[in-house]
Amino acid sequence: MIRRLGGYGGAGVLLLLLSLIFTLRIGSVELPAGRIFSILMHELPGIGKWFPRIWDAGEAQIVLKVRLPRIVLAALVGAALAVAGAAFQGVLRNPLADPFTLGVSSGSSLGAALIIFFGLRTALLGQWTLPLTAFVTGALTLAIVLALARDRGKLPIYGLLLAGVVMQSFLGAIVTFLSALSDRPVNEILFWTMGSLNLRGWSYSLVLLPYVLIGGMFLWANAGAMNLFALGERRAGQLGLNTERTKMTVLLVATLVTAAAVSVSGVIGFVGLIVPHMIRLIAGPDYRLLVPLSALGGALFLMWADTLARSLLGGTEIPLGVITAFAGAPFFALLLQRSKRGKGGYGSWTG
Amino acid sequence: MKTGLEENSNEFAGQEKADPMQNERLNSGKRPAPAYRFGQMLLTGTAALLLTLSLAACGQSQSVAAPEPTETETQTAEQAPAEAADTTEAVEAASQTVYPLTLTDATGTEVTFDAAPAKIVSLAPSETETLFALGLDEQIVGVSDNDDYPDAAKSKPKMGGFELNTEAIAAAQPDIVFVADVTDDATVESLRGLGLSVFKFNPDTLEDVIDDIATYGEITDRQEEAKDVTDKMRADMEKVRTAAASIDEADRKTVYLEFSPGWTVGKGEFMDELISASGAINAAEATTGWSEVDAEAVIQADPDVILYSQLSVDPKTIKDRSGWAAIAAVENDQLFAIDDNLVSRPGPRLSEGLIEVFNAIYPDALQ
Repeated sequence: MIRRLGGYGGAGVLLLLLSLIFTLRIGSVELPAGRIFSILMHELPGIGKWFPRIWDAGEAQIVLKVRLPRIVLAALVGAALAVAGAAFQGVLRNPLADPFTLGVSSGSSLGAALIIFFGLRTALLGQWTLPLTAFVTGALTLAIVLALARDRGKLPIYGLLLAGVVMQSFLGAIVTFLSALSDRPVNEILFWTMGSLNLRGWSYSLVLLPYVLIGGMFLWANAGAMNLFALGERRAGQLGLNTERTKMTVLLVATLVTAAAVSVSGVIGFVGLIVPHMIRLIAGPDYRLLVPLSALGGALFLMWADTLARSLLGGTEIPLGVITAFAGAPFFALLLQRSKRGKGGYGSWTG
Repeated sequence: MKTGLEENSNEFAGQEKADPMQNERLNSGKRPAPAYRFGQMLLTGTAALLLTLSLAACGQSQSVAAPEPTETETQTAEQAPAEAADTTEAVEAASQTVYPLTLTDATGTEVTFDAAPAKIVSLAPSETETLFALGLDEQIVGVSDNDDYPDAAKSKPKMGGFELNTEAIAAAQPDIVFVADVTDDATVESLRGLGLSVFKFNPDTLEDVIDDIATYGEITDRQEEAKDVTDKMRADMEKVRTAAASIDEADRKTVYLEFSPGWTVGKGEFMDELISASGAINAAEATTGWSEVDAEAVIQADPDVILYSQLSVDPKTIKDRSGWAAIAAVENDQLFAIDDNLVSRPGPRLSEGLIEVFNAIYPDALQ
């Protein structure tokens, strides 16, 4: 297991670095690769002096304060959503569960929007206010969705999807209504419904980082339990797992990670769905591999999705959620089809 | 809710912040740019709600210089415009409209007027401002929900905003309905289907705006009043043009515009024309219409001045953006608020907008 993790993980990290180099070159302002490299090296302590300033201040700002923080933030948001998706799928034993389809993203965005609309961004808990409120509303949404979907102690796939869709459109309508009424400076409505990473500096990454790191580690630590869940809850219980408590903590932590991501990026759909399934195809169903590799895969996926979002139409931004939906919705349809036929082991997930 | 929207537009003014461009568009009477339509496609469902709610979001403005005719002024103007005395002959020659008058509007439809319209409905702030400037206070029997200038416009019956109140319009039995670009051609056709006479204006340039005001004067038989208005506008423009011409090529400033949070304006919009008429360069000149802020492009353009919407943009959000501290305008604190309604409504106050923009970019350059 360790060797396989090392292999896939190493490849993932390498791809991530290569992608960083490639995506750093893409932007509305043309910058030669050599100059970007020099600008980055100049910032490093020790060897910085070997790279004298041959660029103007604006170019350094573009690389260091516009492009790089945005790419890093995309990677963090992607990792957060993908890890949360893998965890939701693990404990709910539902292949179509992800922060978006469960309505958790919409719930979190409502909380974040409320905080911003009422100008409470840093009230009470400072910079933690926003993600924590998003967490509370996200968790409430999840609770409602699960309660709606539960049928005689089970969570059927279709019930869960329906409940998620209903909550999504309801919460989305509230966000839209709020932003229509608001007289405070908030980001445009498109941000909350379709997501965007435009105009986001380093501070956003710093806010998100601890959630991704600590939350991700916690979920990874519970990967063994997720493997047991795959056998069915009763069987997992017989093997000595406290299923209810594990399920609850994993769901809450996954929701917290989602909420943190949503509060900096808006609602970006399908990342938590596509990525874990891709990883499953490559590395198999073992959650001890699936969780960390999903983080890497999510980072890669969103890095590129955001690069497309900011470059595909020249200077015109495409909402990030549009790109992920273009990729994700057909994928979702495919998974739904497969689960209907009960192929590939997913059928048994209906619980 | 309804009365709130009608009576106090200020309460909802901040709506613009939540919503990229609708208000600006409603203000200006311009149709959404392609980039925005893309966004709208995504949000068709929510857009309707948004737009209805955002209708009232037009700010108030207290401009003093506009030729705002009071009732008494109107009456004297009708008899003999004292100011135009030096050009008496030309004025006399152009002062009387001969009916029936047939004109082609922006939809390419010929509209015939048998007499000066006695009952007028105006469905955009710009058109309403023009009608009031021509002293047609008494003839106006309906305005759009957004119309807030001059003050007298606020007490006129409301005919709806982006979603028109067709019943109210029909019930007002107007001789003519004036619409701007914000009313799309399909809506114009459906109004015509009700037997209403509709005339649409869709100016693209400052010059078009002046021509349209003259056309208003012709339709309503207020040619002298129209000439007063257009003469003043031309004088304003000439003043700015002369001052702009005296600015050295090397001293020309680059200007970044933000008239909705996170959105800037490129070619094809009045605000862009005001910048170039002021002898300055729009930092977003490579783009067309409205587009989301491209931070890289703005940093590279390194604008000397930033002009932002008084109503909807908080300059702090601009200054605090990552990497923007190195921009000359931010470094030297050259950020100025501009009255949205002056620069976005293609009406009689557009030339005042031009002067305001010029003064912000080149202070003290105007004599």
